[in-house]
Formats: sequence, structure tokens, C-alpha cells
Amino acid sequence: MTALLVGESVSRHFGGLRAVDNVDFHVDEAEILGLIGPNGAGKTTLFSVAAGSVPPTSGRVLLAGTPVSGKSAHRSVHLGVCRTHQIVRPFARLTVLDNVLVGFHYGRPATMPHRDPRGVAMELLEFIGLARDAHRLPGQLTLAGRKRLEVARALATGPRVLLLDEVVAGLNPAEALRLVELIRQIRDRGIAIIMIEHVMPAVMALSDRVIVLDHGRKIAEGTPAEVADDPLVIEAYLGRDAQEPGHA
Amino acid sequence: MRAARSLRWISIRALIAFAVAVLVLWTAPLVLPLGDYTHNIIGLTFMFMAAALAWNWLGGFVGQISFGHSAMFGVGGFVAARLMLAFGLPSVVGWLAGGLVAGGYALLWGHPTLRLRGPYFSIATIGVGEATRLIATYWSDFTGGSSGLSLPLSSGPTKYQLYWYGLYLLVAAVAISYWLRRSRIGLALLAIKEDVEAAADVGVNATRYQDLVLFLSGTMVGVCGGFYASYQAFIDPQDMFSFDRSISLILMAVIGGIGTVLGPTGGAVVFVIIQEFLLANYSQLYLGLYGILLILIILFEPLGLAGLLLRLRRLTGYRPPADVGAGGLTSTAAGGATEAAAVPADQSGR
Repeated sequence: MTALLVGESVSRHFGGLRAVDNVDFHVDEAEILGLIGPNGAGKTTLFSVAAGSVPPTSGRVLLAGTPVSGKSAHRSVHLGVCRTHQIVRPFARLTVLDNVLVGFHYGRPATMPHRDPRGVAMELLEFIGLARDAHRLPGQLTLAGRKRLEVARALATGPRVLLLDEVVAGLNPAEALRLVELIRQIRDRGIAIIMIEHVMPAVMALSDRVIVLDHGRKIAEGTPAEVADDPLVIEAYLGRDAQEPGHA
Repeated sequence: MRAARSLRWISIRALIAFAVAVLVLWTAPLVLPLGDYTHNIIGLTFMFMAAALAWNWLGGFVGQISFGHSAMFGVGGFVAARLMLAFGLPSVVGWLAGGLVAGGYALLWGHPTLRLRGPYFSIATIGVGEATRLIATYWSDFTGGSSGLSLPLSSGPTKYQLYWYGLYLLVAAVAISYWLRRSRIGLALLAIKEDVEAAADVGVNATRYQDLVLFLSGTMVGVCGGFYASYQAFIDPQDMFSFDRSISLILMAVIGGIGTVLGPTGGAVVFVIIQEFLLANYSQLYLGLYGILLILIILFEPLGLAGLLLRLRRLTGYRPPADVGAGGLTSTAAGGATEAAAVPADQSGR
């Protein structure tokens, strides 16, 4: 199978800081790629490049062969790459349903038919588990609800690749478990997912493959189990002496 | 499909109420014994209502508060006046041409500055307004400088007829207001107002929609400027381009209910009443009066007259939908960011 979204030697520098440094990545249809790394490793910057809101300093990101990086956020969405935000950013004074409708109306290419948008949006909310809250404001939802809304709004744009930025973090274990199940169902719809996550059990359970970033560079790639055993990864997370007894 | 969509943003009841209101206003001067003064002032009020609505498209629907709309008012007025003087064009054609030039002028400065948000955009518009005023004042070949321009009284509609032209202007502005707010576009505008980056991240082309709204707003205000030129039959740059004129549009929108569909029309009525009846007698008080009014509104009823109306309807048992506050002065864009990034706290037990 050919990869759906491919990053070729992607770099992004902010002044002298190499936030993302020469990273290659790819994700296939219906695959979940975990993106992990310590704070400040450049994960969110890589998302911003892939989602088009930040142009790469060098390198490029291709969706099925078409460049998506370096254009603009809304064009990336129309091409089929949509992201969520680590700190949820709902449209606070629009209802949950209208939040989703924005994605539905504006996230799709103009050629896609708009048959009964409200019905389709309600179906989507049903799937996400927010149907009962459709006419409430985002501020009236729990954090878990707002994270779901963030995912629902992105899904409404009909993405081929979904970039999830820490959607599980900050939820209690029960909520996290339900969201993990939801992400799996989204993947089963054929959508490629790249997820940044600090909640390791979620990453390990969901990811087909994991990429580890540290100081902007890719230091490891493989199955969750391989990555977890990689000495470089352990060092990046815990420091050099971590494995010595009495220090961890 | 298209018809079903376009029918939804305007209800049949609202359409009928609108038609009746227009009919009443259209026939009123023919039936009621209005004095000349009242008749003319009502016509002028229609124009102010239209201008306030047009300001509200940008300031209320998109949340980009412009302090420079006098620039388009003046450009529209002077271009219309010049065209009428030079070619003897019918007034309506002159107003439309002036409006389009004003809309183009708005795009010229607005396309680059609309990427600024909040106070930064507002400050830029103050600069645009003042710069335009100074250029107009010194470009006496075109504007007549500080001595202004006089329009020949014989040409164009009489002041008496302008009442109906003002009404048509208002009808157009109301229709565009409904379309901008209640159609699919309204959703994009609100999304941009709430969080422009999040809007882009779900596919809204913020630049395109902001440009569209600014162009419409500038064009309508420009047409109003042309109407005003015909009404006064004399215009000078210091009046047309004055900062007070920009402020007056903001006041009308805030008094009536910024971001609401029709609120600014009510604000315009209040404004004209204050201007004409109180200002004439107590001209020293007017700035203070507006200041007090503004403070009271912002403190107690950010949706202005429209908000008061809503309170009355609530008393009678009406339950507004949850997103009723989507207009309003304050932006809650930062409100969702209160939850700090998650702490992986629940991992220790594993």
C-alpha cells in the first residue's frame, strides 16, 4: 500500500531554533501513527506544517502526491488534512451543532454535495456522542465533551488525514478509554490518523506505528513495543542515568 | 436544493412583517400630514439606518471594529457629486458608482489590514480615516478643498423624493444584513469572529470572507455618502470625512445592538433624535451624553436596544436559543483556553 500522507525531510526553524529538523514520516490509509516525544520536541510544530498553517523552512508534505504544506490552513483542509488543537478552540458562542456545521460547510471541497447538512451533522454528533448536547454552547460541556467537539468539527470537514493533538490528555481514565475507542472507530472508517499524545497507554494501545521526536529530530520509529524498548527513547524521556537503580 | 437552502435563512413570517413595514413607511408621507422638516429628517434617518447596518456587517458580524468608515462615506459622496456635476448622471447612478469606488477603496486598505485583529485593526482604521480626510482636504481640485462642492439644486430628485430613495437604501441594507447573518455565510463570519485561526483550521477562508464583507460595507456606506451629498446639496471634506462621522456609525450600532441583525436601525433612530432635538438646544452636552449612554450600554446591556427587547420577550415566556449572544461586544475567543495543557497525572498508578 502506498502512503497517503508523506513528509519529506521536513524542517521548520524559528530563528536559530530548529523546532523540526529534517523529519521524514508517512501514514497510510486507516493507519494510526503515534507521535511522541518530550515537551518542546517539535510535535505540534510538525502538525502545524502538515496542516498548512506554518510553512516549512525546507522539505514538503504530500497528500497522495499533492503538496499540502506551505499553502494555507484552509486549503489543506479542502485537500483533506485537518487538525485539532491541544488546547481546545471551540467557537464559544456558537452551538455545538453550528460548530460542526462550520466544518461541514467550509471544510469540504465545493464539489462535494451538501445534502441535508443538519441531518448529516446530527449523525456525526450521534457518532461522536454529543447528539444530546447539539443545541448547547461548548462552554456547557465538560472538557471531555469539548475534546470530542474538537474531533467532531474536524471530522465534519471530511478529512482523509486527521491530526489529533493530545485529545486524550487531561481526561479521567474512563473518559480516556471511551475516546480511545472512538479514535479506533474513526480509523476503521478508513481515515489516516496521526496523534500526538503524552498518555502512553493510549498511544501504545492505539498506534500501529510510533515516531519519537526529540529536539526536532526523529530519534526512533517502529511498533509501540519496539519504540518503548529503544534506549535512545528512554534516554530522551528520562535522562542518561535513568536505568540505574535508585535514580529513576 | 438551492431553493431549500435559501428559504431557510428567512422565515415567511419575517418576510411578511418586512413587506408590511416597508409598505407602511412607503405610504406614510402620502397619508399622514408630516411637516416638511419631519419628512426630510425621516428620509435622512433611513440613510443613517442603512449606514449603521453596513458598519455592523464588519464591526458586528465579523467583529472588526472600524473607526474609519467616514473614509468610504466621503469617497462615495465626492465621487457621486463629481460624476453628477461632470456628466449630469442621474443621482442613483452617481450614488452607485460612488459606492463602488468607495467599496474598492475599502478593499485597497482593508485587504492588507484585515489580517490585524481587535484593537490593532481599529487603530489602523483610525489612521486610514484621518489620512483620507487630510488627502481629501488638500486635494482641492477634486473635493473643492475646505470650501467644498455644491450640487446644482435643479438636477436629481427633490428633497421630498429623497424620502423614498432613503427607504429603498434601507430595504437593501436590511436584506443584505439578513443574508449575511442568516445564510451559510453568517456561520463563517461568526466563526471568524470567535477564533480566526480555528476557523481556518476547519476550512474557512477568512481573508475572502472578510474582504467580501468589507467591500459590501464600504459600498453601502459609500452609497449613503452619495445620498447625503444629494440631500445636503453641498458637501465639504471636513464634514464628510470627519472622525465624528465614523464614531457616529459606531454609536448607532452600539446603541441599537452590535452584531444583531436589525439592532443598529434602532440605534440610528435614537442617534438622530438626540442629534436633532437635544443637540439643537444643548450643543455643549452632546459628547457627554453619548459618553454616558455608551458606558451604560456596555455595563448593563451589551446588546443595546436589541438586548432590551430580548429581555422583554423573555418576560413573556420566550426562550431564546443558546447562541443568542453570538453578536455582542465582548469576544470570548480566549475563554476556551482556561484549561491548561493536560498534566499526565493519572499515569503514576500503572
